[in-house]
Amino acid sequence: MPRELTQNRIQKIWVPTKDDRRRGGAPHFANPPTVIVMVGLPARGKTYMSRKLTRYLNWIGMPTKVFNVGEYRREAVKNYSSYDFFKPDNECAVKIRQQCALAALRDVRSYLKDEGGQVAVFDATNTTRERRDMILKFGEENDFKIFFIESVCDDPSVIASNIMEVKVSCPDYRDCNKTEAMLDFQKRIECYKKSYQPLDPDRYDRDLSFIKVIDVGRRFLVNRIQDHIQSKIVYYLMNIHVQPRTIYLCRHGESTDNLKGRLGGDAGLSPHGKQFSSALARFVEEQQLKDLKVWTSQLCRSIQTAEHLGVPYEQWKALNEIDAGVCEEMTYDEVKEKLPEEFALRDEDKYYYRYPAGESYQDLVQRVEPVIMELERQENVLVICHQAVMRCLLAYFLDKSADEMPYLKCPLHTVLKLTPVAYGCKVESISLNVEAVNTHRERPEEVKRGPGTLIRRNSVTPLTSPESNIKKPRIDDLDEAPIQELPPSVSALALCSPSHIPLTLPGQNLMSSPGRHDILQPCQ
Amino acid sequence: GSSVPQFCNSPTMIVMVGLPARGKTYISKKLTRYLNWIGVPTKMFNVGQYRREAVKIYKNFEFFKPDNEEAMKIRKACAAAALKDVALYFTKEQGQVAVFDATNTTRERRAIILSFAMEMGYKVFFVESICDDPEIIAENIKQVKFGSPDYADRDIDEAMEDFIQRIDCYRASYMPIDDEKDRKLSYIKIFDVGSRYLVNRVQDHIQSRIVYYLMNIHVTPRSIYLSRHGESELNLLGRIGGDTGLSPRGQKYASALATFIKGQKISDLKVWTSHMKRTVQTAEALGVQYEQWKALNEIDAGVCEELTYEEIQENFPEEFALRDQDKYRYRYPKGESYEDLVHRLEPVIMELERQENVLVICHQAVMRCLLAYFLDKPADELPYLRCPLHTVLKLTPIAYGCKVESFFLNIEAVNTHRERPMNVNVSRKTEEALQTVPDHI
Repeated sequence: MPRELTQNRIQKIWVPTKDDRRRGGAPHFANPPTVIVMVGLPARGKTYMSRKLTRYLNWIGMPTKVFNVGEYRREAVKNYSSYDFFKPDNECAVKIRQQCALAALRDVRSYLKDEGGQVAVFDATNTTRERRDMILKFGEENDFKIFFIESVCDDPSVIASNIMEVKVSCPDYRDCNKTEAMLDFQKRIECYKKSYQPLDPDRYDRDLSFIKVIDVGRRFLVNRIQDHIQSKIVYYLMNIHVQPRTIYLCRHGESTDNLKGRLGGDAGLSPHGKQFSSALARFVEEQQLKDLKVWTSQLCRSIQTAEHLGVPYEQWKALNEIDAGVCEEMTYDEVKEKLPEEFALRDEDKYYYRYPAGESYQDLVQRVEPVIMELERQENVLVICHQAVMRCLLAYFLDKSADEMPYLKCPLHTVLKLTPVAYGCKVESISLNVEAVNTHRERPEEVKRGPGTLIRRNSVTPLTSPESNIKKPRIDDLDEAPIQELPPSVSALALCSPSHIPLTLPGQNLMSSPGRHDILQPCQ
Repeated sequence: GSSVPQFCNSPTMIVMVGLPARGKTYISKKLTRYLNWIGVPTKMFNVGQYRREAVKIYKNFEFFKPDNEEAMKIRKACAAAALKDVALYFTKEQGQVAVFDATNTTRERRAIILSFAMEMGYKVFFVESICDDPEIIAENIKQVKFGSPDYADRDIDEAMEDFIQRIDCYRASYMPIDDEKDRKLSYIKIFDVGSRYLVNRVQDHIQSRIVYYLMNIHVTPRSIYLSRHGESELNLLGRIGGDTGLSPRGQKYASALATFIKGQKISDLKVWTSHMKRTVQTAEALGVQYEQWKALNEIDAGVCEELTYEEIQENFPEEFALRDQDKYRYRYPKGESYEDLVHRLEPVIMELERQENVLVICHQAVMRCLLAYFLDKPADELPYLRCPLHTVLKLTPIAYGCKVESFFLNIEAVNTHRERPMNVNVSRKTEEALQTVPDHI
């Protein structure tokens, strides 16, 4: 007899009645956990790629964490003196560095076996065969798949630029000036060069799975992709770039439905919405960008907003607002009145909650993923979309978890300007000073958490890239004086736990903002 | 317009490179099929076909000897003719991508193509296939060369012998794409049927998609089974969409499907369903693990969900006529079109390419989209492909295409297939609109 099926209340997924766990909601592709092993000389972008990849994998629902051996070393050796530490004949240091790598691997194992992790990114130079063989053995012993990402680059200007961007301000160099730091770092690189054995696809490493990223993505060598996740990782790495550029996210102008407090629908702009669109056109012009791409959804209010810009724009159905199913065009009060249980369920678990015959934020993430991939390929882009969609995109750029995503503040008539910087993204929130209704519903105070809200292993839940195991100075409030260990420039660079970054973007007081607020919101 | 931005501005030429029997035509055809399915107008230009037109009778490998001046002239002319047709395809037929399928093994030939493209403003992306495994080569020759018109009157051993010598003719002058000299070109080198790839200077979105696709396809033998859910309660009533469970006959089909699958003795079968009750119920009967994909959900009929065709005609006669006018592009109000479905299904296709044996339990419109991909059916045929209930389609790749076997599992079900009626005008009468509606309760 086939098993009885019920539709689980939050996700609306049909499951055998006896089994009420929260479901993946999407096929699981990762079975044995995977360790991604970075390889390359210092200043080749390993940490940059590690963090970006981790952010992407977490966003698509694959629990991933970075293990940066340099951080373990900084814990073990409180004060970095000079590049001498990295000399191959410095026996004492070599021992310490070996211990650090082993400690990191122990944490990798525990993350993948006991903490529900699916992918661990082992971020270190891993430049010798000896070290890599050790890691391969570790993988075999624990039944982990191993995938190497090697970054090869010999362009001195790229290296110098990397050093300036992320190394001179790193904790190792807090007592040095920039020139000193640069010189020391270059000598550090020399220490590694002699013993560097790049991956050898023709002989020694021909049976390994890896990608060699050459000259910042000009060229790739891909060997033996084993599975779905490695294929996606390769595709992602081939689409990202490091050209400076800016992404602008905003919602359509206020719509007539917004005025009535109605969800969804396909209404046109209200008079204020039209005002915003003109203001947006002026704003875009003032930004003086070369080659700005403009993307909209296929809903009227988004297209109408773009029309005011007087430039070509592309319509993406994938950018349409979340489908509220049977609740489309109702007000929240009407939903509460007609479907009180659904209303309560949504507040219980807003990320997973799927409107009857509609979508959930989880569905949105899947829908919007090709947009993210194309955003990575592009340079300057303005995306004119919708509240829930914008929250999804923002969560990707700012590394916000599934739990936070549905409550990110994306008010009408405000442009978020995102600029990649160092390992993360700078956000500026710019209100264009046109009145609009507030469509944001806060997370209710008393929310009954039903069963099945535990995050399960392999469940498809965007997580914030977890902070490392190493005790890092915590910065509870960005206005507070930074803790002594870090120079002021570094505290701005997102070494703090993402969960400490306030969800409210300052300056979003819609009714009375006297002007633009260019707030620097550093975040991972 | 379409539901996805058009990313191609300059037309693109994909230029195959490699010795004979390296899978160039296989890749060309598959890539062309994929690109057309996702909505990028693509056409293949196989220079060998031009040669067969020019030289009606193929005698033997001597034609391909590098010192055969007469033949060289003809071959050059064929390549030039193909390039001319590429230009015509782009300018007169709104083509977006042309796949230039030939050996293109000399730098000289590639230089000609590059300068042609530069002159015309086309982008060029090379796909080189390198393989030295004699077993793979022999297998390729068996799979596709014996069936070629060139060897129609030969026996297998003769054909094999001749073809091997043909390959040797190319070998001496073969200059693979060079990492140094060709560092400015955009290309992918495929080694040993996908064991390794070298990718250089991907210029744009379409090239990135092509690379991703090429890295996901494989040639391991396997079968894909496509089936709809068992007959549902709404099917019986002639209603579209919705999310009901199986009718009693639908349940019987689910059991019959389980028996059928067991009988196929498939190793490692993956089973995929949608998120809708009727497919999940069908899979439940199999007693094996299955994965649910929201992307496999039936087309969203928007305001027409759960209506019968008669009700649609009564309430939305104009919409009903518009749908018959262009069933592929027509989007239900607040719903989806077949075109939207294709984009929604693309990740499913990509994963199907990666996988081996898979059974996909889905829905009528979805199954039509998937089938159109595998059988290379164009957009205007897609919405009318026959995917009846209680029938499993078994697809097995062979040679350059796909073999289809249809298994009706002998459980009666309603017919849900509605042909295009004769009159698709918005001014048509009700009887004309309902002319082709299948019977229901």
